[in-house]
Amino acid sequence: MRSSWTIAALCTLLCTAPGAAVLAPVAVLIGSKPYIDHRDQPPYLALPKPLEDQYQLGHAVFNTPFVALGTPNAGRRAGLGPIFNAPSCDECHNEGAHGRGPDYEGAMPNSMVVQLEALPAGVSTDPTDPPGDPVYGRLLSPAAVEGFTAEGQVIIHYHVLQRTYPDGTAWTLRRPEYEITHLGYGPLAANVVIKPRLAPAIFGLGLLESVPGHAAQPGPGRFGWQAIARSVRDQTTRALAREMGVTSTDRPEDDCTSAEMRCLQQRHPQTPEMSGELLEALLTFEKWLSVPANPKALPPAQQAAGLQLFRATGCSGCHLPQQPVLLLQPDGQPLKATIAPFTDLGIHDLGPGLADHEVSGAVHPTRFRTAPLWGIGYRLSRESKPTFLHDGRARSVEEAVLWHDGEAAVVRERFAHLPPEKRAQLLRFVGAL
Amino acid sequence: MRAEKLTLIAAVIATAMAGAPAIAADPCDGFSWNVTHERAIFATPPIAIAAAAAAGAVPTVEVDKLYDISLTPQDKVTFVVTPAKKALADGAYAGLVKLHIPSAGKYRVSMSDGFWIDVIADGKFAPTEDFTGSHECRAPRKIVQYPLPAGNDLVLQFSNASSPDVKVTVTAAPQ
Repeated sequence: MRSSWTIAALCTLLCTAPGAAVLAPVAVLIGSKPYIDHRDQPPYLALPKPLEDQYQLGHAVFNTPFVALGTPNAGRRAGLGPIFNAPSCDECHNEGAHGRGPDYEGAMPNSMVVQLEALPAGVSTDPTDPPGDPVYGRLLSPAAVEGFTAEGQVIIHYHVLQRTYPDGTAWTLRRPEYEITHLGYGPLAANVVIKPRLAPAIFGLGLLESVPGHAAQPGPGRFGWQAIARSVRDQTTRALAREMGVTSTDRPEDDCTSAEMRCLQQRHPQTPEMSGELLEALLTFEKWLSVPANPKALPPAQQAAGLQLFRATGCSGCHLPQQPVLLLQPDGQPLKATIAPFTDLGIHDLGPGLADHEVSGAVHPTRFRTAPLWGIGYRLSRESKPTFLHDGRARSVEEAVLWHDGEAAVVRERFAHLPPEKRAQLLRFVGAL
Repeated sequence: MRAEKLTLIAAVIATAMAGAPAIAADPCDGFSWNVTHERAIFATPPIAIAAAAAAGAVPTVEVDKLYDISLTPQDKVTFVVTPAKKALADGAYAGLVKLHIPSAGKYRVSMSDGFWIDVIADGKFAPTEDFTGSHECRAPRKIVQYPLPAGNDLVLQFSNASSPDVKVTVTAAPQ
């Protein structure tokens, strides 16, 4: 298995594609690796033995289902909950990939969370960590360890939208509605925004972190669907604390609030549930994890033509094909290189159709970070029902494109007006990244 | 898409917001497949067996029966193949059983908890096709689907279980 996104191939592609003159020369393209065994994902650079061991330990931590405090002999696995969304990182980011589902109407899949964000009431709040619901906190936890009450359940309903392209070709989208049921601690606050979020892939996170700040259009942070988290460490430790209930030195508090007294009483702020050793190993795994090459990559000529169309349609305005990175290699030497994430790391208004809603039902203006497109080909090679966008509403790349609005409305319209064969060509290109 | 033409209806229906009493939740409604058959089997009395701690005298399980399987501390288990998913095994339990299936096809292995399972055919991992789960359900908690070959017995290798007793059933997937 060999990806055609090799250094030489991509250099050839980008350097010969129209518009390539505006690109910096491709010195070293890094990031992509073939995944021979999808359960054993390789780092993007060869690691020396001690670092490789730490990477493997971090991978094990990533996969480990944690258990409740007090579980006999649980050792390093103790610390789940008391309220949580999933017992392991891997349960949502299965084998590092984008969360699966939702396939159908019904209960929200485990790979998805509902974040809660209270609208500021005349006070400025930290944009990288906005406050949550006063009772439920920043996450609606659908699960709890034995003896505790889960916070609530979420049911997804879909409304089908049917439209046609200008050439008469029909398309459909499904628009989700979220029914929140079985709230364990009373009603949600009226000023809370409901933010359904599917687990994003973790491939290449360390590389995205290594993009120099001036190269991106920065949001408040860089990671997560809205670029809220400042760093991989920030994103990881907040997910551990809030989605698994596993505390760390960085985040000694989980998502219990003062309204959840029994939950609060389980806190031991002086004793992080994940040790520093395991946290550093987990971060090492995430930092060095590569991006899976597409095992069915397009021939170089088709890639070049697809990239040209991608640019001409305007997709590359936000889904920037390349970014520079500056990182320290395992031997401590600096490395200037290039990655092909197809994101500008900026945040953009994609219109009211994709925006979150308040509990009252009002649309809440929402800006999303441009989702990296690398790894889509790998996903499509492995998943029978892949979903896209922050809440998995899109069942194909085409549906994801059609949901773009707001700042991307012009590009979406340009896509819609392409001849059918050109639309198919563009979708094949994106689906093979 | 013309977003301006979309009717923006209230997208959040918070049923408890108006003070409506919470209804008892069905903890097993979170599966993305129809799991009626698996749930019916989980409602039957289980057959108690002890999983093997190494290849050799490995007990056999059959399709459409519920088993209550006792496991061994994982550090005492010799696996046929190292579990595919590396994970911390502190305090974890593991074990092996054989599976006999009547014919080739798609099968589901349903488990009472979120522990790891490998199906081994001819010394190699059988690829998984898909999986589903329901957070609060224990009857079952997790279901993994495999396309399985007929012929030789398969080995079900359980690892990283949090409990020394787990319930498992194997069913044919709907065609």
